[in-house]
Amino acid sequence: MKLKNLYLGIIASAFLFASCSNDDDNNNDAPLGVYDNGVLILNEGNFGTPNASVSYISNDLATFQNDIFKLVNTPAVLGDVAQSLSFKDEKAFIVINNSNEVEVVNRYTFKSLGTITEKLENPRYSVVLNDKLYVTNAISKAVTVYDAKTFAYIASIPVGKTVEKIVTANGKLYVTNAAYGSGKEVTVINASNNTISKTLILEDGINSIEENNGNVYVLAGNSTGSKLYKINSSTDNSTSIESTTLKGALNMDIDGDKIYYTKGTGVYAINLNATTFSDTALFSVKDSSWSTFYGFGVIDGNIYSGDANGFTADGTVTVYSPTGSVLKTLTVGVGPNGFYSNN
Amino acid sequence: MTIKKYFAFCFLFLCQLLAAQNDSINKLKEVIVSDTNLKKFSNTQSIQRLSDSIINKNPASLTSLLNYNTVIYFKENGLGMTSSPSFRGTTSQQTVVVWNGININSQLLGQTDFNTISTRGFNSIDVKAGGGSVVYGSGAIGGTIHLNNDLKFTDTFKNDFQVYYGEFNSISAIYGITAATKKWSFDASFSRNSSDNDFKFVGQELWNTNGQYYNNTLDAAVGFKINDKNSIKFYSEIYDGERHFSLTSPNATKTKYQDYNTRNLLTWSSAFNKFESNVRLAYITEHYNYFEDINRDGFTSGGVKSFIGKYDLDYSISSKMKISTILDYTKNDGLGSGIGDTSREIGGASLLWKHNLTEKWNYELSARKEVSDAYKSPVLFSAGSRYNFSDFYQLKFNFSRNYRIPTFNDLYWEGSGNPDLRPESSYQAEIGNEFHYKDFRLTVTAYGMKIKDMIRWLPTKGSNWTPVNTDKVTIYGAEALLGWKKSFDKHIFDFNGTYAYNVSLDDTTNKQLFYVPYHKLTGSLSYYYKKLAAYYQIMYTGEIFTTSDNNPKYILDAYNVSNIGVDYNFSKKNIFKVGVKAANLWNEKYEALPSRFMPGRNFTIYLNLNY
Repeated sequence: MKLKNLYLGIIASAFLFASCSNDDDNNNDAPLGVYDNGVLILNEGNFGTPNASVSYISNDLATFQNDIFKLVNTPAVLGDVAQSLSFKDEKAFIVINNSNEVEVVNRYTFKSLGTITEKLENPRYSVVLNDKLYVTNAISKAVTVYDAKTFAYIASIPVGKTVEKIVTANGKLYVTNAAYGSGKEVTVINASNNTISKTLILEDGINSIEENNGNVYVLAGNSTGSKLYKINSSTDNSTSIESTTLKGALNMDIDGDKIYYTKGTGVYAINLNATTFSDTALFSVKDSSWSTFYGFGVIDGNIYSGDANGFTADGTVTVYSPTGSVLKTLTVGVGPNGFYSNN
Repeated sequence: MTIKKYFAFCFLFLCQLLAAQNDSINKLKEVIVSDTNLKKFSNTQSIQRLSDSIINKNPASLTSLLNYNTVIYFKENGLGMTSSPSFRGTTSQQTVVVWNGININSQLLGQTDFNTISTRGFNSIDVKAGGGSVVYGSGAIGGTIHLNNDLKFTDTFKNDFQVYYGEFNSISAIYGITAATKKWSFDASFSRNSSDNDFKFVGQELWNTNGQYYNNTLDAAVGFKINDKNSIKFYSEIYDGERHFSLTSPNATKTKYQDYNTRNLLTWSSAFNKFESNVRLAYITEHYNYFEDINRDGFTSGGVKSFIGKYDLDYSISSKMKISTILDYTKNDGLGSGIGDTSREIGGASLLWKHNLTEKWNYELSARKEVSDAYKSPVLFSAGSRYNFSDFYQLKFNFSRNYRIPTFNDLYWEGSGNPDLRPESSYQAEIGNEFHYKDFRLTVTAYGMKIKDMIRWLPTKGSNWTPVNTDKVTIYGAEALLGWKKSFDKHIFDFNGTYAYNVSLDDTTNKQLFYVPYHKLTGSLSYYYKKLAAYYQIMYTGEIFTTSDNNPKYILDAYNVSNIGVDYNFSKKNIFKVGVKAANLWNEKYEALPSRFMPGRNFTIYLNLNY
């Protein structure tokens, strides 16, 4: 769910947006059996309708299948708004925001291994550290902790403010206190005792966070500019680069030694150790539906763009080469919001 | 001066009138109609009247009433949940609910939730298809639904009590009182509806959860005739309701929504020489509280208080020519989560002209221009003509321009609202054919419209949604209304049917708008024998696209739902009726929106007392 807030979501789902039903789904595809060496595409579905789905595309872009959770697990339903996914060993944890569930599957066979429901209140993102699953919750404003093997509930870490994306580095958890384009803090949690050790105050408009080689990168974009932080996870001190000409950068994703981000319809890249933002797009994509880059990811140099098509129809995923030529265009499920390499 | 209208007593209780038929019916009771313009300036369009007997046959929500008796399709999020219409293929915000002549669509949402209108407090409900923005303002594109508290000025004292009890612990009760002399008239009612709404989904081991609701409505109308030329009327309604929103996945957070709406209207009508004037002052409030988690204290809320002043002046140049002006002023004050403290003002002037060229041929012209501090408004107009070829056949034509203004949420929602929005606007035309033969009547209307600047919320800035003027739509279709009444000895049969075929195309994609079925059909057959009454209703809705690309994978199946009811009046002089009805008789599995299943077969028993 990426709406401004739940109220708007209700209005939207009730009156404005389309949803879809899988009742008449005549997709006769048989499960592939193995979903490795490829990319999992998470399609969040329509708010208020349990039509979230997962699509699979092989790394060579030759094999593609929609609705893989359903194909493997019918009659189980994935749920209402698949927000995010995290991996640990052979498991994938799919956070189903509006269903208050984390669906656990074998990442390769996609067989369901269980469903976590306890203490989940509008869950958003998750990460696994030391065999524990940490999940951020929008309503309770807490991080809830589960055993990543038994799925048993262990503890809640109250944060008391917006908790959104979560990554781990150096035995610590970094949680962004920002959603829907506003918020400027990152809460640092000591995972050994489940307590908040620090709150980092950065720039307003935090939208992305990623761990790379012991550092935590945070991107904030707003109407006056963009700022990229590199946090040293040993000291939690940070350095940053800033641009006032490139406003509102979004969708940071690190692939190889490059940091990718988007602005408007443009895709940009800079080196990991760059000292300035790039104002020159690698390439731009066509925007036909106002919802280009609803999902964005870079995997092995290829750029994956998820267009939600205004949530009134199935989404479109386009895979671009590093120079912007279209390698593949796919019709996926409703609202593709994320790409996860599954090797 | 209000128009005097006469009703046949039997018709009030037995059948559903089409407006075209009103000319010929018997004259029995004097009634002052609350919405005078509906009668004065809608002769070139089609009006379907739902009388109180029709109202009583259906559950107390406006959704159920209209779903089973009109061509309107409802996007109902499960029984009793939020519900919005698509009339003639238009969007939810393009149908207006008019309460005693005043547009009561939500200023926040631009539409009425048809499950927050309790029908039993009204004497009659009129459904007028087609454009009507000149008189009824924003949103009158697909059509207008008129809720009427008509006042009778004859010596009367009546009490009315009805109670319905059905499965899922559903209770609906209304008590009403009508008291009138030739000078005074008073009509008031209180109704309550509630349900646990925990029905089982047909063919599934799943139940509707967190769907319980209740609502209370108090209606009152008072009229006083000062003298032959002056009268004062006051109408008031208070609605208080709470609904839990039913879940679509079992562990989802339980939410609930409260509505509190009040409507007050003071009217002074007077006639002098060839003039008639109407001063109307209305104060309308709407308020909601939304609890995003019923186990927590927090909620968001908002509301709008609206003051409306209207002055109508009619001048009859001759018995054949009438000119009218309407001057109006509206001030809306909004306050709430997301919209902050905002207000807007609208001033408007309308000019209407009506001319009977001959006994058989008339035409009507009207135009409206408004000014507002919030948006730029086009000049609206309506032009229409009616020709009676014979008692058997009548032809109507109407061409109009109408609009729908941006809502408070569209304009002011913090961080998302778009102050540069233009109103949606339409050009539309219709041709109506009316046939009467003895007890048989048929209206066939073909229509077409072009709507531009449709307002849609889209994720324009990454995760941030904003409303934009985007799509253009072309709509065409036809609807038929059929009525037939026949008595054989003491057996009376009354049949009413409606059917619409509708195509609504997005101009860019040339695809049918989603949530607009091509076909909708309703039918009801009533049978009366002495003190026994029975009826059978059907409602058929054709398959519905749920995506903008009309993907066949996501089509909702067509559904055909039937209700049946029977009652017997045990009283000799008054009404002491006991009845039973079965809704969804054939236990059809259906959903009007994806994952929003409706109940299977269920029974209701009822008691009506009138003395």
